[in-house]
Amino acid sequence: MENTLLNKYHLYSRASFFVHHDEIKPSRSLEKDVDDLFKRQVKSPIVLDLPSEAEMKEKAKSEKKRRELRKKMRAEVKKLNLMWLSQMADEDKGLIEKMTLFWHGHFACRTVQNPYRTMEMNNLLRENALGNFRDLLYAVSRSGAMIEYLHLKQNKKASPNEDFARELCELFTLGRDVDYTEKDVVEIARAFTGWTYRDGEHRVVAKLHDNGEKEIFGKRGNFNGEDVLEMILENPKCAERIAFKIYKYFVQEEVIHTEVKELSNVLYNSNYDISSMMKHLFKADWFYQKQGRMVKSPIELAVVYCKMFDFRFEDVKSVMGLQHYLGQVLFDPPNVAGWAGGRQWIDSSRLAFRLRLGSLILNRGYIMDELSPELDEMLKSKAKKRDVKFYQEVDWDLFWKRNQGVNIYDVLIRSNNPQLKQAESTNDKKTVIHLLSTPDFQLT
Amino acid sequence: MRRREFLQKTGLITAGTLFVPSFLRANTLGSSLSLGKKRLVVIQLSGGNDGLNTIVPHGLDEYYQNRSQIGHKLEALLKLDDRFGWNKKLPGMKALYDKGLVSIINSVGYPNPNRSHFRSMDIWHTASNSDENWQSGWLGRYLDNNCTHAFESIEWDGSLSLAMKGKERAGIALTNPRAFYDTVHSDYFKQLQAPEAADSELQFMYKVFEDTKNSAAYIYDQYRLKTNDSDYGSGNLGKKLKEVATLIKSDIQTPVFYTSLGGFDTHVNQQWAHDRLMEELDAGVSAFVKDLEKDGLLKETTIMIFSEFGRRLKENASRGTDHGAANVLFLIDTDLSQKAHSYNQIDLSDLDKGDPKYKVDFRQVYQEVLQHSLGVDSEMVLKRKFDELGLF
Repeated sequence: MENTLLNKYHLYSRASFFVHHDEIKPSRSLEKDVDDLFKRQVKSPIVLDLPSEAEMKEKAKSEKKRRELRKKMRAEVKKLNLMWLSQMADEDKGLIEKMTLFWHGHFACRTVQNPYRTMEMNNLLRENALGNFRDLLYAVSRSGAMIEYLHLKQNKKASPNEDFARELCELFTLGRDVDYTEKDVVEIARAFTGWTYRDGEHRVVAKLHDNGEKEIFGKRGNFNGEDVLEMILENPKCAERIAFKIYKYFVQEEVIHTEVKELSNVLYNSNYDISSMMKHLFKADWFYQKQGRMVKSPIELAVVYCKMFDFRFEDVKSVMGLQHYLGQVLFDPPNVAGWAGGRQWIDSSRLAFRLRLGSLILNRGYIMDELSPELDEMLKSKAKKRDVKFYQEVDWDLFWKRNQGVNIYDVLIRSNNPQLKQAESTNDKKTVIHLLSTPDFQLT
Repeated sequence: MRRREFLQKTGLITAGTLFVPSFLRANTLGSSLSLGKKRLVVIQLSGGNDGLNTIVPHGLDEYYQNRSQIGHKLEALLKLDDRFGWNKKLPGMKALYDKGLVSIINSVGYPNPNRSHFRSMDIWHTASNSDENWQSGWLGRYLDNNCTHAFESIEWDGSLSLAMKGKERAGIALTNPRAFYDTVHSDYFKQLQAPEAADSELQFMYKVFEDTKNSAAYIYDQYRLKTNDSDYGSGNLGKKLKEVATLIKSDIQTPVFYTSLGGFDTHVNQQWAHDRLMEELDAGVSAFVKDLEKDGLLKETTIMIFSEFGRRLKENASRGTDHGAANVLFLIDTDLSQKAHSYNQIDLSDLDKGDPKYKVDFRQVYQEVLQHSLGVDSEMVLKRKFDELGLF
């Protein structure tokens, strides 16, 4: 792969969110860029200082108090939402946070009502995001968040609940109807009976666990939950499924099976080392031929703006509004299958909002062709409330300093659109606002 | 782009049957809608409507045994028959029913009901089984298979429901045609052209972009054709339905409209809150039907009113009700068969975890609405075949 500026912009915008030109080392090889990117990642958990969950719940005796508690819990989750979003735009966290966001969609779990589960799940995803998929799968399966979300607590010897068993096979590992049957789902549910979460810990309650013989994937034995996870991991189809989803998230919508196969081989042969697979991906020639072929997710879009202009969203209401409106609210995936992504991020109403977002953030909603101080004053006084809530005072001098000596089109736009490049060829604020207001900018 | 130009570009103008003044239409043409047989207007009651206090089974002892505090007394109902009565706040709906324009379909749900709002709404929106996670909506798949423009499916709300999102196409959500038009018709967007050659994703983005601009212009133009001075009262649902009616009266080529009324999650002191919602529903729907009827448009319209689930038979300790399962669904149409009324049944002695069991799968209703109202192959949309109900 060629050591070009465009390839470097592509690498960083896919592997993290956005890169300013001054972060690029033009003469370093792309291989070294990739290694360096992995080396630099800083993992920091998101943590809120809260009283223990038991303490919180202790006080909620009356219905009124319980309602207040629920409200408070949801408010805390919104704080975590802002914290995570903010952290995604931090220097040296781009890759680890983007991977965490990927796993959030893969092990999709709705925790908007509970900040404890939210922190637990988010931090375990981050901890293992570039580690080993086996560890990640174990950690998720034993997490309070997933145990509650997929009703493992209700999975008892006398009355098995198949929710977790089914999604484990269908969504988390093998893929729908791949190498498992309805009968396997029933038997896997039995293997996970008694799994629960109490006082902040995963437990297996012996008297609720079914110790009998099960037949799973054609084998007979007294299997427990861990045995099932091992049997699944042994099957290369599990690595294929993960590689497939990684491909659709980091490469492009249209799947080229030989390329996915490369990834799944690396994952399986490295005994599920996620970093090995990701490094292979970012070093593959074919990765660099897929520029501008993916739709930015709403969260990605928001983080790109934050990183680009070095600000953080601080107003809870407008950030939540932005996520709701564009269709991706952190900790609130639509269902256990996560966000469909790709073209499904886009519909007319959402595209209209996306096309206005840049001008809302930078210019109170006006896509300007004349930017004079007088006009700017006028806009400030005229701007409607709804339009100003996204507005940020940004440091344009810093932006230009960080992106000196290059065509700003190349920094901002990953799709190849010669007409647009020709029309918007000057490095000024107007051009930037124009470029951010294009269908092209929605792609990465 | 102005309407005429748009019509030329999209080929609609050659269709011949379109944009005929409504006074002519009544005499010469069967339908103002060339694309499907009828328009479908979906009204979603969000939060889980208490169907047992909507169509009240006063003839069943279990109802009063389980609802000593919030049950509606017989004398407070608008009597339907020996078993059922309308909530007293639904006189308009009752009048429509008496004219044969309403089907009450009780006990609508699906196997293995999910009692989470989000999950159950998902199931209704995607039309999946409860153990499947589909990512496209049923009306979205209708769009995928049968439509070309975003304006063919309009949701009068802040954002687009999953029901309206297909794999390739999606409807449009808006609450203000003028604002939506302005948003996508700035000078800059006017001169922004699709690139001559582009990768498929960029082509897709520009296709949606062009369609959005065209749809916004078309909707805004249609919206301005008619002024609507019918009285819809002050309720929010009524206001939204009035806007929908205004568009329908313009002969807009939109087969699907969608809107919602929220606040049905009545866990606490529900009587007052639920009655108020019934009032709003009744006022909105009856004004809407009257308005369409006045212009001869009711016969080209099917209205479906649903909620993601019903509520538990037994009231809770806070004089409210908790999440339930099967529920009542309403269809309003001029072609309803009498057979529909045989589905108007409920058995409160045979419950699933305290909730009425489903007797009609909601997808059986979808199937017939797709076939009868939208005139399409329902199996393409629902991916399955269901038993016929014979609603129409």
